[in-house]
Amino acid sequence: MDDGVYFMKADLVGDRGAEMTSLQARQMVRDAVDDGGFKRKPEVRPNCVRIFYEKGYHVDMPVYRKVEENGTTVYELASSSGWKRSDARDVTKWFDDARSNSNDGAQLRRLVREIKKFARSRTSWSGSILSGFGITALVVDCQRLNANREDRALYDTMKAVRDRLNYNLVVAHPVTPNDFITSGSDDAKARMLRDKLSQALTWLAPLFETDCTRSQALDCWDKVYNTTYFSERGEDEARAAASYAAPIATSAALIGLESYAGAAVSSSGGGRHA
Amino acid sequence: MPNVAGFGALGFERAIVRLEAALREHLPAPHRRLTTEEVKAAYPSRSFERGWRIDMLCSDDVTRQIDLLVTRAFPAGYPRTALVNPPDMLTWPHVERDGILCLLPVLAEVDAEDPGQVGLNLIGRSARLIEELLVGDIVERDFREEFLTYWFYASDVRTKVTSLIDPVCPSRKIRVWRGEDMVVAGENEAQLNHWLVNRFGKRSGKKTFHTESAAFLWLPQPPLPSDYPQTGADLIALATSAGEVDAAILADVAGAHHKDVLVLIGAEGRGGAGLVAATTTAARKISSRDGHVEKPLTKGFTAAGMPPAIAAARVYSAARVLKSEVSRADAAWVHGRGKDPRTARLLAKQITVIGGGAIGSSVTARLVRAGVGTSHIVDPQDFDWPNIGRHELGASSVGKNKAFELAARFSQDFPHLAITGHNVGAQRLIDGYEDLLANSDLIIATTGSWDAEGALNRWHVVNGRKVPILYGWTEKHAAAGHAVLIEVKGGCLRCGMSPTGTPTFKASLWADGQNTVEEPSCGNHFTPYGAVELGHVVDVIAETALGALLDPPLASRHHIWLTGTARLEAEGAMWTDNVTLLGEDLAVGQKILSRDWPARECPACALAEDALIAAE
Ligand SMILES: [Zn+2]
Repeated sequence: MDDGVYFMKADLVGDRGAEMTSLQARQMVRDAVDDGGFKRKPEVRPNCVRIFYEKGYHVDMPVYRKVEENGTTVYELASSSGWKRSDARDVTKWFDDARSNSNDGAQLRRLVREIKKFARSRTSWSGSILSGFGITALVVDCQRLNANREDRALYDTMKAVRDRLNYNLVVAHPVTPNDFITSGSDDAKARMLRDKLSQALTWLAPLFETDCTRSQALDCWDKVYNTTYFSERGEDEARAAASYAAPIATSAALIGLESYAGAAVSSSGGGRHA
Repeated sequence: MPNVAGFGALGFERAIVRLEAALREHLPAPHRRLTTEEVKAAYPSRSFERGWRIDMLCSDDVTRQIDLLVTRAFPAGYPRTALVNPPDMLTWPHVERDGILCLLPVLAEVDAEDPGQVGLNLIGRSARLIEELLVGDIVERDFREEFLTYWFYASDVRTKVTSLIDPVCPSRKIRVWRGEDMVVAGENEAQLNHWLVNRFGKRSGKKTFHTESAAFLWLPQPPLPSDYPQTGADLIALATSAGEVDAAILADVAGAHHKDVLVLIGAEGRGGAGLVAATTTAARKISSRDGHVEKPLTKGFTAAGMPPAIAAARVYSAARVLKSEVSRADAAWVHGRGKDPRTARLLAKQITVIGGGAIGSSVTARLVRAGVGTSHIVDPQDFDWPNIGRHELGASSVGKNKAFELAARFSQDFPHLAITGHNVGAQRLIDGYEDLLANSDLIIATTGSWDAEGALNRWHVVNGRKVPILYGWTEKHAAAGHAVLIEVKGGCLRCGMSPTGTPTFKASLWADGQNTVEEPSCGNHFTPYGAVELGHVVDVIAETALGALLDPPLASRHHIWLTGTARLEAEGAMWTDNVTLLGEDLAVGQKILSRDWPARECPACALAEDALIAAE
């Protein structure tokens, strides 16, 4: 969230000493990063400068200016609608506040992580499902905590998010007033998240039936997360043994672990004697 | 990242997940999770709960397995590792009978919040240990340097022999006392008897502790497990390896006694000398089926007619010997584990403590623990109920003389020291026990009585202050404590006191009329103070005493402990000008100040001149 190009406001001065516009700043950054070595030239985008790399991926670089305001530093993004107060640091603070306002900040954080992980569980969804930031905003709004059962909390929160999106696909930016994470009233990415959540909820339906066995439950979660991780935890030893006919570690390779994990063991103890 | 060093069953499972994730990610090849049944079957004497087995191709082209094992307490109680199918016990050091590896010293600590890294580190250490054992350089070295550990693994009996002997060269005859559940070895009859009387009290009537001859064998280097004696013959062979003289001492002890022999064996290991023990069993009586008792050692001879050489041959025969551990209880070990250079000097010191009250008893207790060899405690009073909140003694001593009780208590707890109680007052002490005072290295007076201490000071001055005297007392409510050490130079005690024993230097100033509380009996008064605050006062006096014994100052010296200023003010008192004029920052208080105890031409000092004149 912190990546970007930062300038002091005073340094962003245009041709005739006038203040540089948001567009001029992005153009300047584009010109600066374009050393002529790119196959596809960097582009000025609405909220960033986009740099294209060979293998078909790109990196977005937002441009910020630092403004001193009543003794504190605020950051403004060079956006399509001019300089806009919008800053990664504010977002971080917002989430910290959300956690401390929650009854169980640690569980809230896990729920965000778990649902983000779900959204990233299929490469085919990549780029077409709501961003991690959008998911964070929704989970903070819709959190359903459960101190005794993490699985229950996760299920209920997924359902609450889905219901919220059924009601309305618009997600407001939690920090910048009048700004939205989604675009328009029928954002395709939000819609995809909603539909995938609906699907997951049907997979998880057996979880809270009384006759649900441990291995059934593990299978459900594996389906949601597109892994074999959960059912492997309950797998029988025969399967483990089968995967065992693998290459063998040399003692030298194992010895290397001692210094790799050296910080975890102190031979001489902590120096406290009683 | 959640803290996996959680709690209870969930914490355990979380730690397991983290550990397995680390194994999957960082082990160079797959590992295998052991079933609970496998873990229990492989380590029946341990309480491991989960285990993982890792194949390892060693430098000798042999594939070995390392098990990583955790108990229910995990991630507390760090994981252990084991070598699967270990060689026979005592083939390799650091490998226990069931293959468990000893990787970490006792004081090692691990990061319970990162169980994965801990597991990886221990696997790495295990692999390194096994490779080092394969190379072999450490095998003999560690067996010798840590021979106490491996002797323990090879031992046959659990009872340890308690040793008072100085574990140094050469081999020699020693004495042993065999009690019902204790065997004690000492250098000689006198030392052993002193210890036993202190520890267990005098035997009734004319009975004494029966001791026997035993042997101490000093080896030039610690034995390897293959040298550990199985039979009496092995024992003689081990002694012969040290020297003919050494073997002769063992034979001598057997020849004189016609009994089984205890042999203490000493050698220099890592971190100092170590002691182990072996006892022969050849003389054990055998009862045959018809009830006839045979004594195999003396068979065919009368007790008197038994030739020593034959007795020795029979003791050190093919009959097995019992190996056991030794607990060192010698003074150098008890006070500083043989590592504190001050111990030998303190053991040679003699102190006399006059006044066995709250301060005297606790100062003595500290000095006894520090290892002062000889202590005399002088007090004519009996111990009473109101004393016990601030005293080393407790309810069992109520109604008994303080000095006797303290001496008995300390003697029992420190049987190697010499501690004596004297039920006399200070005045009689000065009149009748002059040798006691003159032979002390330090006299400590904690009576709080000017009558007693003024008289002691006069004796001191007249006799040239040859022995330093340390006076210790506390102010009201233990707000301040004083340790005044009177040496040859500087002031005498009276130099800093009024004619009726009020110190010129008082630290705390109290509103009038609060100084003491009277008991409802004639003239009895006391100063109320807490046991906890008193600890600081005792410490400053004890520390001054230790300094006087080990590193005495040139002239009289005064150490003052001050309580926290907040506490003093809360009790409605303040510091005197004496304290504030020392220029210390007392915003917080809780300080130890030091100053000279200067001489002035006091009436007591004048006695010294009289005495000189009289002598001329
Ligand atoms: Zn004087």
